[in-house]
Amino acid sequence: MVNAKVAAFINQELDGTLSKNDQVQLEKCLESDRETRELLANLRQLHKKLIEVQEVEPPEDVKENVMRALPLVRRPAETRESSFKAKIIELASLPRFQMAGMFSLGAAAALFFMVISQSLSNLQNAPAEKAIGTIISPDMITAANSIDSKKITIDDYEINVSTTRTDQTVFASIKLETASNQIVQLMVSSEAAENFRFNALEYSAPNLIYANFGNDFFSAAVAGPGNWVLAFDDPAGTTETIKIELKSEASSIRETVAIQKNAAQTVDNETSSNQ
Amino acid sequence: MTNIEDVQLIEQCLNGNREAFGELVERYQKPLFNAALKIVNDWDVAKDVTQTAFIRAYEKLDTYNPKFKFFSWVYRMAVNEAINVLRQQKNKAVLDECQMASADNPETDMHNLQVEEKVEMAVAKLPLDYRLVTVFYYFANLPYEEISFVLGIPEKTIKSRLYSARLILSKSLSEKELAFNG
Repeated sequence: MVNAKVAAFINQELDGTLSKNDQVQLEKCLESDRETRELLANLRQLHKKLIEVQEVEPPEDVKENVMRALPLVRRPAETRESSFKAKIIELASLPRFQMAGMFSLGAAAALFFMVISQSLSNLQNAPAEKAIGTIISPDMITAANSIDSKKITIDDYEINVSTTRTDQTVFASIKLETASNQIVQLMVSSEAAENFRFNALEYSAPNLIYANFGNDFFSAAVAGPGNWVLAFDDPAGTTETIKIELKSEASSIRETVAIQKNAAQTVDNETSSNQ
Repeated sequence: MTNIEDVQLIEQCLNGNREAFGELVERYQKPLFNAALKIVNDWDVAKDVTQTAFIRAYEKLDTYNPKFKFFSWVYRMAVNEAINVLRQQKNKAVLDECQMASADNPETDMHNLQVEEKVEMAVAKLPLDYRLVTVFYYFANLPYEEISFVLGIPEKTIKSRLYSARLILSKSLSEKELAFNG
């Protein structure tokens, strides 16, 4: 058994940093300790072999894949800051007599937004499956997926978009199918919808690059298949369409998808039966 | 390649020159990939880890502190990603021999190649904590200070783990294998 001091000397000798004095001390220890002499001889050989291990060339397309992903990547600091600034500007423009009431709501919403943003900034280290928000029930997901979907094709991706709604919530189920690892960016929003707000998300996307959201949009970049279920608040109940934007390196597509109402009754009935 | 040159490229990139980041990828993809490969023991996973580390570095480029070397900073991201992958995969087995053989070099002596393979396989079998230190010391050629930054542990702990790793490796490789051509 080698004591800590000799172990440190051995480490330093292999590192090439052993002083002359310490070298003398080490040699004295080794004179009477055959086992440690043999150990050091083995470690010297091992050290040499480890140094001789050669590097392999990386796959040829690493740089290409990285550079292709860069235009689709947003730096989280910029997006959080711009969304927060927009929120402050919106609050400041309200009439004075509404400020008192709105301030508390706005502060709570801003705090909620900041907490969720911080969580989303760690999405890349999060598991590939995650849920944000609490209102998407399995019944709602089933209802959303049971509606006839709209198919959109971009490059090697086939995207199926299904929508449904309750009185005050819009659901979008988006399935991305592909055999490639090409990067594609997805954004979901609504055109000119009053008080339309992103609320919740459940997803399964093993090749997620990033995901982000603002008040009234959700965006993500992926490099492979995935399933997404999004929920948006629509308190007025008047939103009739959502906008899907897809962008790859070579092309971009915008599609307007009508929000199906037929399943709303089913969802409401199933929800009420669970109460 | 000096840290000053890397910092200049980073500044160019932050000013909108995306190709400057490509230069950084070109410089460090080989050592980063090799470190990732020896940590995760899977060619495709190592490729994903490498690419993800660079993309994350780009995303967080405005937070880069020039006090540390750029490649150490990227290594840190690669380590975090590799550890996440290993947690999900529950540690894979030995390296694929086909990926490790230097088939492009016909002059390599087969006996030498087998010993090198055995050394690499022994490293692959090390417990993760020891493997990380071994990879960054021997294959990324980082000094103790940089390894401490990459792994977020004190230098003293690194030296202790490196010594333990050396002991384990010397036990798993026979005297004959270590002495061959030595």
